[in-house]
Order: sequence, then structure tokens, then C-alpha cells
Amino acid sequence: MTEQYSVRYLVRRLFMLMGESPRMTIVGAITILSSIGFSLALPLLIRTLINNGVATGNMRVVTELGIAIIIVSFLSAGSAYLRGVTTQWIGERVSYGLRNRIFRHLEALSFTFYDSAQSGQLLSIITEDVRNIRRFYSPALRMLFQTSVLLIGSAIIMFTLDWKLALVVLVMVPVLLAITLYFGSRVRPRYLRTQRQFGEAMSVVQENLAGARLVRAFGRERFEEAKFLAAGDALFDRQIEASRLSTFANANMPFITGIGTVLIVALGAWQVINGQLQVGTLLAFYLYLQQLTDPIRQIGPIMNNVALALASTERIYELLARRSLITTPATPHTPTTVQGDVQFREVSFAYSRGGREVLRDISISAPPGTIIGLVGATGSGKTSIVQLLARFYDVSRGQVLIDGVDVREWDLPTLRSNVGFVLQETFLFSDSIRDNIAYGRPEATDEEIVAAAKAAQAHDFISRMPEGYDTILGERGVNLSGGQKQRLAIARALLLNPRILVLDEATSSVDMETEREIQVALATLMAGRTTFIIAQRVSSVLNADQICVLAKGQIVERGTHRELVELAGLYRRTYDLQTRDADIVERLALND
Amino acid sequence: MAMATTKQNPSPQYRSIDNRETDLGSGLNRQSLRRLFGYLKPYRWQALVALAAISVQTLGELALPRLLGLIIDGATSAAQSSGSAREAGTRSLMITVGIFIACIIGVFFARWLQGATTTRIGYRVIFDLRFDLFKHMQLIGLRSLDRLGVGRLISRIQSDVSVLQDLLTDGVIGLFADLLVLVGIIVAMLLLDVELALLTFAILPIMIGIVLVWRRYAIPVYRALRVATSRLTGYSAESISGMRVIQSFRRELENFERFERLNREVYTTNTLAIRLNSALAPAVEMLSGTATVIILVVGGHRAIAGGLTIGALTAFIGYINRFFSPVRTLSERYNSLQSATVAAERIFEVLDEELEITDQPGAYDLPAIVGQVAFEHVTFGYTDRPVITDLNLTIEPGMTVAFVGPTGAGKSSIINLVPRFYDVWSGRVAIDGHDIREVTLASLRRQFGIVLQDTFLFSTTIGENIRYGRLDATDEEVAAAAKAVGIHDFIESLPTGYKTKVGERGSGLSVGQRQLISFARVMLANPRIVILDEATSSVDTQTEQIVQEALRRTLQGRTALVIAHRLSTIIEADLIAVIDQGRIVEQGRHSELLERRGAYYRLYTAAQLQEKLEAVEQEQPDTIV
Repeated sequence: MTEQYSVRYLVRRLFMLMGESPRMTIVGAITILSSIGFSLALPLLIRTLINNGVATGNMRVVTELGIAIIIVSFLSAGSAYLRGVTTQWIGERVSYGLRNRIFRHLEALSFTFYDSAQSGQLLSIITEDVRNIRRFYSPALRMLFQTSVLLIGSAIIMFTLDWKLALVVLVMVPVLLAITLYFGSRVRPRYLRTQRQFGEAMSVVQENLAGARLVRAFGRERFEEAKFLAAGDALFDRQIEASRLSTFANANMPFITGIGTVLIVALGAWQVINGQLQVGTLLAFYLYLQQLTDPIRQIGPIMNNVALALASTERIYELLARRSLITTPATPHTPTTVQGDVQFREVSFAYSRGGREVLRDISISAPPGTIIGLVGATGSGKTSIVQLLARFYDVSRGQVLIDGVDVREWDLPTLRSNVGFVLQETFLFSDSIRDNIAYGRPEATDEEIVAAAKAAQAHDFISRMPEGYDTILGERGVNLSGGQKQRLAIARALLLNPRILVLDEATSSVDMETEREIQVALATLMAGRTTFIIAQRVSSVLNADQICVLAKGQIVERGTHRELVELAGLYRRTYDLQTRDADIVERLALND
Repeated sequence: MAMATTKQNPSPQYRSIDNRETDLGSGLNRQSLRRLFGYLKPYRWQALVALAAISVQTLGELALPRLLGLIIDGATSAAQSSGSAREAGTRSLMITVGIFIACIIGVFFARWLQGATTTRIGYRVIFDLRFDLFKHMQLIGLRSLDRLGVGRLISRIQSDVSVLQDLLTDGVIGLFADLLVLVGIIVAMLLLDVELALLTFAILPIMIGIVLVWRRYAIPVYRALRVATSRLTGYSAESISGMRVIQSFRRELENFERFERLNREVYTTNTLAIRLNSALAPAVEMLSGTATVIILVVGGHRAIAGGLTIGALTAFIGYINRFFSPVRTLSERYNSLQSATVAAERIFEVLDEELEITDQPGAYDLPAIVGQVAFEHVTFGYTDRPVITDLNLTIEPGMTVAFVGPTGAGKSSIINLVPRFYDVWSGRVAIDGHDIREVTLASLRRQFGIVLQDTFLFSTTIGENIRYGRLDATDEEVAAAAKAVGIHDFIESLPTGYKTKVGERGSGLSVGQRQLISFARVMLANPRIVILDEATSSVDTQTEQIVQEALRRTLQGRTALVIAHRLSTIIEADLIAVIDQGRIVEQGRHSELLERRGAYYRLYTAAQLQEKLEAVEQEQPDTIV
């Protein structure tokens, strides 16, 4: 646990969450108290039945107390049921609320957050950590409360019954507690090591399967087996190491209570012989000791639960404390129509405050309907520019203006609905084709969806699918080719009908043949919109009104294709290199 | 003596019913259970020790209530007598206490021994099972691997085996102990007092009835809960990885609504489950309370009448306290046994996965080859539709063949047939005249170097990743291979050089660098035949040049089958095979194919020229050429 929050703060948080359901909390506490009260009464009743009934030969007492015991045990069972339902319900209610809060919060966090977040970790917060917190309420908190009430209650009763025997029992309690906590703290790190080693063994498996083709290609099956065997052996050793302690601890606990029982029985018998104790009281002591043993044994695991819950609470609140810096201002700009005029004014940008500037003094002027090409090597800052445009990040210096208004003054949803993206990797959800196209506009009619698909040259292949627009995509559904995915992305953008369009390496992951197929769709999409085309292939930006050549975050050359070729700079060199092969083709073809 | 638990849970985790994997299938599959127990066979002696230990433990524990009764009776009668009788009584009482202590110590050792043995056996068997699975996964053909899915296989070896671990450590021994306790108590009660014993047993059918009714309600609820939970997790996972898209399309509200619906479903189902799992324990408590009262009242009356001692009555109460818990746990164990059989079935499904590609009987080692590859009338497909039809092609040693054609034409399928990742439907693939199905797989695949489109790197050092090509290569040889493909300088520039760890799947390196590492791997392996699926994703211009040069060197002097995406690779190839719909529609060298003005000409000139011509039309022509 990183000590960012104090344990007290975290515990208070957990109690505050519980306080959100005050009625159930009170009912829960009452049922715990009553169920403990009833179970404390039972040994007493049995004692009286034996001492005043059986031992003295009083039949009436036996019958009356018998009825009383039945009533009490029914009441006890009833309150135990209510106790279980209420305490678990509190945990469930808290988890439900937390999951909603976390999900909402995740939706509100900006790209900056997702740049450094690992999606596996986020998922485990919403599943594992929430579950750990649920277990804090039930069983952990319930058991702790229950056990302390039980301990105090039985201590009082036992002392009033016979203080000597009570002392014997109560000496046992700290011994048991100490042993539980001692072994708990020794076993825990070993168990953690086991888990870590398990993770390692599993990552061998995962890599082996993910790289199956490679393993087979190099005939490395034996080598892989040896790798797995080594990891498995280490795991086995860790497991044995951990279990050696825990099996000893497991055997120890009943042993200690057994010794306690012997002491009580021997001492009690001695007192019975001397007439200082009645047998019924001895039996009651025996029963109290039995009642106490199990809860005390559970304290070790319960403390584990608490520790886990605290760590999880910390992780969750750390996440919830992350604020998105990108929010709609108090008086947002919400125009009814958008022209699509984009201006970058001396924009500088770094992904993290004080970090390396990935963009420096970028100025671009894009009047409505123009095409801007952004070219440059990987990491030159092309993608950062368009992300600033939709305000996925905020600039460090300078301004991005759309229709003359700083994007930071825009209403965020309005801004983003006017910027459409077609990215290199199309993210499709495991949903129907229809829903994937209508992703940006869930209210779109079927006609609109089909029209968009047609314009994106996607209608034909969709219609050929057995279930057409209802075909489910993704892991359990149909897999599409790169070109098909790209066309769905284009249809999605068309349906959204944004004034400003960003094509980020939209065609770089498909082969040339497919690229040609989607060019037509792209041309339809770009018509009449301000378009930013990001590309490594110079050939994709030949038609741009203005091409900006980026190197290390700066625009080093700018102009139309013709101007840049004449300039004979970086662009020209890149262009020559990339088209050299094509030139060969061309010459050969022309000479033919 | 108190505790009835025989649980030897290696984890200190508290387990409640709602987080237990309870896959309540329709019944038990005896066959897979039997097979599962086959895994216990090598450890039968240890298993016998464990059984003996748990018998001792159970008997010792069962003796305690009776001993307590005897002590109470002894004390009572000693209290009532005097003189030498009292002394004799006290002495025999001390002996009983001594036996009591001996029992506790005996139980302690038995429990310890039992715990240590069972967990050891459990871990051992699990280890064997995992290793068997892993070994089998190495042999499963790629087609089955694709079909089964990496995620599913991992969950077999990870979660399903873990479910069995619980069964093997806790379940089997626990089941035995429960039965032993049940039988032991029945015998002990009958020995103590037949009438009281029969009265107690009368409660048993009610108990069993309650458990059965409970199960009927609980099973569908738990199943629904599992479904709801996995839906919620799936949706969360998808949303988290697609969060940028969600935000780009302003879907926050819709997606939250959907999440909330799924979340609510989990919540309501869980509320039901909570009611169910809170009901069983109190019901048992109620019954055992009733039984206690019956015994107390009936026994109490008899004791007053003189037919029963108080000690015997006490012993009875002690036994009743333990009598009902095995009945309850037996039902729980039945559940875990069921989920274990489901898990076992899933595991055996993988183990029984037929190996479509294995060494044929009489397969021989492929002798040293020169590297001629021949496809003779090859037809092949993945499902019922062929993707390659009657393919004929002979590749002479040292030749580079570039396969070109539209996506889905069958290029990948062709090159996958050569290292026998898949078997042909008809015809044959031969290397130096040896049908590849007649030689051993290991000797066949040793001949290849393979570079895949998506370079796979293991999360270990860069050096080890290159060494994967030849495990016994020295550091110098690894460096030489890296030099040959032009990545040595880059690696050396890293702070820890060849010892630099690369992340999962090679993260931290660029696409180009990863490709170069995979070239180095092949250089080190020095195979006769290279199979290469060029990456489509473009790398920056400088890296591109290095990659092209490295490629040239890697292919030099070897037979190469290349799915080409770079024009330079195609132009330099000794033979270009244009593939369309599983057939070779054209083959020849670049210039020949262009002259032919056929499919190849159309494929490559069209795309390039169109763009160029458009540009030419717009610009002054002389700036272009």
C-alpha cells in the first residue's frame, strides 16, 4: 500500500459508504446483536435445564426449559438469517454504487489519463477491488463486530458463572489471537510469493500460446516445455513452502482450543468432585468455548480481508481523485451552425506538464472545406495536432480556434460532434454492424445507416453477410478484413456528418489494392469538409491544399505538393525515396 | 474438543459462497472423474497415508464428547462418594483426562500429517495436469489453436485447473472425512443410547429435504449471477479499451446507461443469492437446536428416572452439535464436485484435441537439404471451401519467390503449408523431393527461418530473443547476426545493450526494430529456407532503408517464400507468383510480367500510376519524373 491515504481516512471512507444506507446499517447492527444475544442465552438455558432439572430430578423444569430453548434457537436462526441478508446487502449496495461511480469517472477522464493507464489495471479496479470492498462489509466487518460482542458477552456471563474457569477460557483467547495473527503475517508474504510465481508461470503459457507460430516454426517445443517446467517447479516449491506453515497453523488452532478444553474439563471436574461446581455449568463452559473458537480462528483471514479492502479503497479513491482538466467551461460556446474554419496559432504542446514539448510554435490556417496534409516520420507530432483540435488534450501555449473561437471556450460535446475521426486502427465493438455504424448517432434511422454505408462502399459487403446489418462483430462474431473495417469507420464518420474530418493514417494498414477501393469512399467523405490527412506515405496527401511537413514537433516545410517538390527539401527527399519503386514501375510501363 | 473442520485451505483467503465458482452442471460425468482420479495413481501411497491420518483425526475428534461425558459422570459419582471409593474414582478420572489429552495430541499430529500430505498431493497432481496440458498445447496444430483461441486455452490451464486443485486438496479428503464423521457419530450415538440416537436421526430426512429444496432454488440463481457478472466484466473491459472512441463519439451517456443496466442486473441477482445463502445455515441451526431440545427433554426425563447418566446426555449434545454440519457440507461438496467435473471435462477436451499434424508412422528425419520446394497439385482449405486449388510451383534452391495478390487470395495459406502448419487436402508439398508428411516434424521445421508480419518477441532480453533462432549460439554469434541485419548499433546504444528487456510482445521497440530482431533471429538460425510475411504497416523512411538492406542480406543464398508488400522486394524477386482466388494466375520476373500487361500489370501499375498521373495533370510534369 502506498501511504498516500492514512488507514483512518480509508476506514472512514468505508464507513461513509455504509452510511449511505443508514436504515440497513441499523437493522444489520440490531440483528447482529440479537443473534449474538440468543446464542449466548442457549448454553445458559442448557445449564439451568441440567442443574435445576435433570440433576435435581425436576421434570417440569426440563420441559419448560426445553420449550424455551426451542423458541430461542428459532429466534436465533431468524435473526441470523436477517443478519446475513442485511450485512451482505450493504456490501452489494456499496459495490453497485461504486461500480457506477467508477465507470462514470472513467468516461470523464481525458486522454492524458489513458496515455499512462493500463487497461488491465482499470478493469481490475472495477471488478477485483470492488469485490474486495464488498467483502469488507460481509464477512469482515460483520465478523469483527460479532466476535467482539460475543467475546465480551461470554466473558461477562462466564465470570458471573465461575471466575476461575472463566479465567482459564479468557487466557486462551489472547493466545489464540496471537497465534492466528503471527501465522497470518508469516503465511501472507509466502502466499504472495506463490501468487507472483503463479503469474510468472502463466505468462510463460500466455507467451507460448501467443507466439505459437514462432515456437513451431523454430521447432522449440522442447525448449518451451523446459521453460514451463522450470516455472512450474518454482511454483510448486513456493506452494509447498507456504503450505508447510499453513498446515501447521491449521493443526495448531484446534490443538490450542483442545488444550483449553482439557484445562476446563479437568479443573471443572475437580470442582465438581469438591462440590464447588455443578455439571450443567461445566457443560455451559464447554459450549461457550466451542462458540468462541471458530470466530477467533477466522480473525486471521478476516484481517486479510480488511487489509485487501483498504488497499482496494485506496486504489479506487486514487482513481476517483483523478480530475480531468478538460471540461466544458461555465459559459460554453454552443453555435447552431459550424463553418469548419480551423486556426492553430503558435501552438506548443507537451503530454505532461513540464514534459518534453512534442509540438512547438505550430501555426496552421485551414479555411472551411480545405484539405490539410500532415506528413512526417513517426513521433514527429502529426497525431498530437489533430488531438488538440478535438480538445482531447489542451495546448501548453498558443491557441486552437474553430470558427474564430478558442476550443477551450467551446461546449465539449458540440465541439467533438463536429470533428469526425477515421483512424488507422478501427475500433469496433462486439455489437451489430448497424450499431457500430450508428455509434456516433444512436438515434439514426435505418435509412440513414444504409445511406452512409452505401456512400462508404460498405453496403455491398454488409448485404452479402448472412445477417446483413444485424451481423454481430467481434470476438464471438464475424471478423472483418482491414479494408472492411475501414469502410465501416468511414460510414460511421459519414453518419456523424462532422464539419471537420481527421484521417489519421486511415489507409496505412491496408494493402494497396484495398487502399484503392476505399479511396472512392474517402473522396465522398471529404467532400465539402475541412479535412486533416495524416500520412507517412506522401502519396496520400498529393491533393492537399496545404501540406505541412513535420520534424521533431515543428513545421519545417509547408506548401502544396508542387511547391514542396520544387523546394527540394525534406519533403522532396522523402517523396523521391517513397516513389522510387513506383518510378521503376512507371518507367517500365511507359517504355513498354 | 471443538472443531469439525477438516479444511486444509492453503490460502488464507476467507471464502464465502458468493465468490466460489459453482458451476452447477446437470450432473456428474463419471468418466472424466475416473480419468481425473487416474492422476492420483502415482501418489497412491501418499494418498493412503492421508486417508489413514484423517481417519485417526476423525476418530480422535469423535472420542472427545464421549470422554467429556465420562469425565462428567466420573466427577459426579466421585463427588457423591467418599473415602477410598472417592479416591479410586478420582484416579480413574485422571486416567480419562489423560486419554483426553492423548486424543488431542494425536489429533494434532494426524491433522498436521494429513494437511501436509493432501496439499502436497494436490499440488503435485495439479502440476502434472498443467504440464500435460502444456505439452499437448505444443503439439496442437495451428488450425485447432486458432479455433480454440488463446484466451480459452489460457483459462483452461489457469482457472479450470485451479478449480480442480480445490477438489483434490480439499474436496476428496473432505468428502471422506465428512462421511467418516457421519458414520462415526451414528455409531457413537447408537452405542450410547439407541432411543435417543433414533430420535436424532428422525431429524435427518427433514434436513436432507431442506437442502434439496434449497438447491432447487439456488442453482438457477447462482447460474444467473455468473452470467450477469461475466456480462458486466466483458462490457467493462470493452469500454475501457475503447474509451477514446467512446469519448470521440460522445457516447458517455448511452454507454453509462448500458453499464448501469448490467450493473443493476448483477445487483438484483446478487440480492436474491444473498437471501438464499443466508437461509441455509440458520435452517441447519434451527434443526440442530430442535434436535438438542428433543434429546435434552427426552434424555433429561430418562436421566431423572435413572436410565441415563448426565455424562451420556452431555456426550449426545456434543455429537448433535457436529452431526448436521457434514450433511450441509456434503451438499456443498457435491456442488464443487460438479464444478470440478465441468472443469475436468473442459481440460480433457483440450487433452483429447486431435493432433491433426503429427509424425506419421515410419517418418524419417529429413537429411541435409539444398532447399528445393515443390507444390504438386496442392488443394487446401480451412473449412469445407478450398482456398487453394490445384497449385503447382517448383522453387529451385536459392530462389526468392514473391507472392502477390489481393487480400484473401491465399498467399498466407500457401506459405503456411511448407513448414506443415497445415496439411494439404490433396496433392503434396515436397522439399528436395521428400514429401513433407513423410519426414519428422522436428527435422522439417528445423530447416526454416520464419519472419511473421507481426513480429513476436518474448518478454525477455533482446539477446535472448535473437538467440531463439539457435539456442546454443554464443554472445559473439548473436552480435554477429545483429550486425548483419544492421541493428547491432542500436542495441549497443541502449544502456544495458543486449541485456535490455523488451516488454510484453516487444513493446518499447518500433515496428522496424522488431522486424530487424526477427531477421537477426533467422540469420542466427541459418536455415536453408526462409518464409517471410512482410509487414504492411509503414515504418519511417530511414528505418525502411535499413530493413530493406537487412532483408536482402537475410534472403541471400537461401530459398525464400515471401508475401511481399514492398515493391523493392517484388522487383528483386527471382519469381513473382500472382495469386488470385487460390490459383497462380501469372508467374515470372517483374519485367516479364509488366510486359505481359496482365493481372500483375493491373495490380501494381494501376494504383501507383493513377496517383502519379493525377499529380502530373495538376503539376508541371517535369517536376515529377
